Amino acid sequence: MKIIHCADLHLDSRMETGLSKEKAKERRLELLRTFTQMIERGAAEGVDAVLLCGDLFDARTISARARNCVLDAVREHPKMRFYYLQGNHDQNSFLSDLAEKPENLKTFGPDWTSYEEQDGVTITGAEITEGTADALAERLILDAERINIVMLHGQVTEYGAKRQQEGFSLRKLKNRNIDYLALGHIHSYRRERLDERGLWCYSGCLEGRGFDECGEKGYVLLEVKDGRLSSEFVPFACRRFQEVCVDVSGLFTQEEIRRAIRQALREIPPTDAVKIILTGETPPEAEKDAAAIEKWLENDYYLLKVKDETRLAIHPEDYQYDVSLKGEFVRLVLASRLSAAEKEQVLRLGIRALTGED
Amino acid sequence: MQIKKLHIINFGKLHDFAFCPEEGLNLICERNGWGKSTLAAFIRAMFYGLDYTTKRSLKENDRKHYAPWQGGVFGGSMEFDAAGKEYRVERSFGAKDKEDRFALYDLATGMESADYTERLGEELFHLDREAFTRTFFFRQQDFVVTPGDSLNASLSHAEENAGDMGNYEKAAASLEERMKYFRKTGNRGRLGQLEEERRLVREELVSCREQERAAVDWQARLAQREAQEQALLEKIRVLEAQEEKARSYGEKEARKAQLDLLAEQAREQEEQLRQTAAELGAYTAPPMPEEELDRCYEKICRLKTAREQTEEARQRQYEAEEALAELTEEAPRSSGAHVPLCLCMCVLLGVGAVLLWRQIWPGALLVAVALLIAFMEMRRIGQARRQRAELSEEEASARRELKQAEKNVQKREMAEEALEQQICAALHISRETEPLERLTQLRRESRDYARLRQMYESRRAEAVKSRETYLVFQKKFPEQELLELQKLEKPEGELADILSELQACRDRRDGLLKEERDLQHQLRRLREQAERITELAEEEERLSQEITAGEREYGLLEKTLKYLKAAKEQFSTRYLKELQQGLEYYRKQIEPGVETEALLDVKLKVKVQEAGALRETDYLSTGQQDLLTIAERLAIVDALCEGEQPVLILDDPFVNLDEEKQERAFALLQKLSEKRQMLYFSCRKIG
Repeated sequence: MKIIHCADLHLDSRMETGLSKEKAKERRLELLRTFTQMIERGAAEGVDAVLLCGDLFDARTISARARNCVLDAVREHPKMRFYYLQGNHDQNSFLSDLAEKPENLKTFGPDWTSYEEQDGVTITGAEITEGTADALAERLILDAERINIVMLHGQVTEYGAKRQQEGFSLRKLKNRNIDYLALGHIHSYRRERLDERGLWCYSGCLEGRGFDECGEKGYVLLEVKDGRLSSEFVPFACRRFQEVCVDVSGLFTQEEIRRAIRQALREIPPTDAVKIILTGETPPEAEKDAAAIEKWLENDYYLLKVKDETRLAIHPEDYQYDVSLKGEFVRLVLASRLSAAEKEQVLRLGIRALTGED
Repeated sequence: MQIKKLHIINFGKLHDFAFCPEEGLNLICERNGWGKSTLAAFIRAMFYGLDYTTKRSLKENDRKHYAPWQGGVFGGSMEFDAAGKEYRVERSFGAKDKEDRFALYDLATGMESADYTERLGEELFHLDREAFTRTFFFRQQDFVVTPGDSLNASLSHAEENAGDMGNYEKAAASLEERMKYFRKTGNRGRLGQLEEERRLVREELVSCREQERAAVDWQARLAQREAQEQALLEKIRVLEAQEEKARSYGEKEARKAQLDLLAEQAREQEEQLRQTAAELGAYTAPPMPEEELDRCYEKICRLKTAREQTEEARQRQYEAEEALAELTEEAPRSSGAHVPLCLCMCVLLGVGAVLLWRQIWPGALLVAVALLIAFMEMRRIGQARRQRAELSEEEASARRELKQAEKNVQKREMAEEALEQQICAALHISRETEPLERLTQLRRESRDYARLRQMYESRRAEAVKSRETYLVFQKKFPEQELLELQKLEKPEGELADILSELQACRDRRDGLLKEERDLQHQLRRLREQAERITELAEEEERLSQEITAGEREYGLLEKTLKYLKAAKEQFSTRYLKELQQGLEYYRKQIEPGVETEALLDVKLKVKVQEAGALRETDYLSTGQQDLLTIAERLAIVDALCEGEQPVLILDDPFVNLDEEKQERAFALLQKLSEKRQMLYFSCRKIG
């Protein structure tokens, strides 16, 4: 038996990456397309069940397009069972709008619900609400003879979370005959051992939506064969968000900086969204212009952002004896109560203005 | 401070070069290309090291510019005194500043000294490399006078160099310009524009969120209506079931009645059959068949006919006898019949003759009648004669016929006797019994039997048919239904009431469905608006980020301008007084008899008090302007140097001056060299 474990699709989500209106819209469509493609690929590979571990949607209002996309995927694959556990973002909008729930769409409630599957697999899940996590864990009784997959949405902690609607204690889920704890809520893939018998795993989100969701995204493919369960992460996102740090210390000209950036980006495909973080120390005179770099590379990648985190190579001792307006200005700024970052910015602006560079 | 000795291992074109400067003014007159500028650069490198830059231009990259032509160690040493002690500084330079080496030795002890670090220049003179270069390093290019230009024009750069104050205006203007891009008066500018855009987006967002909340309410109302509609639907289903039951009761009742009727009919038919069979059973033997009776009847008829014929024969015998008797009597009566007619004829003739006389026509008529009568009588007499003849013949014939009739009567009577016997035997009756009555009785009996038999057959067929009809009808229904039919009970409520309530429920449901459709339509509209929240929120976020970035940029520009302004004011006030005094001192040193007063403004611009007003130096003669500039530059040297008085290095700065100006300048240098060491590089003999 093959099972897909995915979570945190956040269909219809807003994009907070500074994408243009058109690209944000396009990206939302890509989220839907990747979901559909995952199901189609699963169907082609003989997947029997799909675990949707929460946050399938992002907000209370679901667009007709997103709702129909999910419903079509469910209806067009009647042999596949879809286990839909609602997350903190789902707000019951999808299910409450359904006039008739498809037979192959299985849902969960605030208490444990179990479904028996083929090959001795039992899928159990519960939607965590405030104050229920610990009590839920204590009520979890599973048949040791079966392969138990448990679905939850929330933040795992070793000993429990302060706000229980967000997390649950791993300690309380140990030694309860769990073979695989399929989790949602964290947007990066993570798999660790739960106890001697089982694993806990976050599949991560299917597609990154911003530079806070960098790296490979996809789903986990579970296979139950001869009474044994194995899992494998499948990268599936159509594009990745990547952050690349480029040290521009000692580089003065645009050409030198561009060369360093080219070198750093050489293995990144043009379909990816890239954030270049300029690091190191640069003198005020360095021809370092984030906007110009963005403009230069804007057509080379799906999205390109440049963040300047370089430090200004200004040392107070260098200006201690500088008898000039610049020296006076530097000394004054360095002695001011401005924050370190502000000092750097003000110094950079002032010195560049004095040297006639904007 | 004085430089005692310079030793260059390798620096630019100079190799293993040593020089020991004297106190005061040292004139170094060498040909062009000897390396005067290189030596001057070496002295500065000994104090400040070499800056590291990736700039390719030799003018901007000293490390590259003065790298040894011939290779070898790049650097050298310099001995100097400062604060009453003598030192030797040794420096060597690599390709990068990290490869540079620095060492300072106290010449009194010969030990390495920590009195100064590699930032020797800064620590000695309290000036950085740039300030030192701008003030104590009088390079030729600082005083380049292009043809047609004046010395004043070149020297005027000194004040700018001294404090890059001239750049302030441009820098401030640039910063203000950039600030204006973000904000202009009247909330114009990029930020104002973005804020307005954001305000509109937020308004729209608020509206969409309200519609989203409204959608939730509408959804609740819709759910309520759907629940009501579902409840009604349930009730309708119950009523429909009741209706179905009521309707099916009628049908079932009819079916049951039909079934019962058929069963009853079958039973009745069977009962009648039984009765008919019993009636048939009453017959010990079947009555004479109808055919036989018919034959008997025929015989009776024949007997009757025979009797009639016998009677007829008897009648004919009698008639023959009568006819014979009549013929026998008829012959004598026929002779006396003609007398009356003759009398009548005679009367008529007489009357006719009389009348003929008197009246011809009536007489004639009567005569004619009399003649007619006579004719007719004559004819009748003839006929009578013929008749008598005929009668004779007829009598003979009558006698023969009588004989024949008698024979016939006998024959008939015998046949009649035979038939009578047959009939009596057939009908089991005596001769006295009327056979027709018996026959009628027998026929009645036979007919009754036949009818009974026919009725039996018919009833048997009907009974079978009825039973079959019943069974066929019964087989149409499943056993369960038959059982139900047996236990059929009348449902509660009347069909009409159920139908009426059902219709009312359906009407209410139709109303609810219409309301649901309206709600769904409204909900769809609200959701379409709510679906825009994501895009609007993104837009609001993007605008907010842009505004935040713009505000931060604006704030930074504002702060930069504020600090630049403060720096300018601080810089001006710190050096202005000292510069003013120095300017006056050097001016009077050069021109002891000068009466006009020269003043420096905050921009270090020299102005001269002339005729009660401060005037630009442009009003002065060129010579005066040049000297003012030199005085100002020297004043700056004094004002800026807070530590040791550095050696003044003059790299042929007055090369293009005319002799008079050169003399004045050198006179001033002579004067100044009393206070500080000077190195003057030139390619010409001076003084």
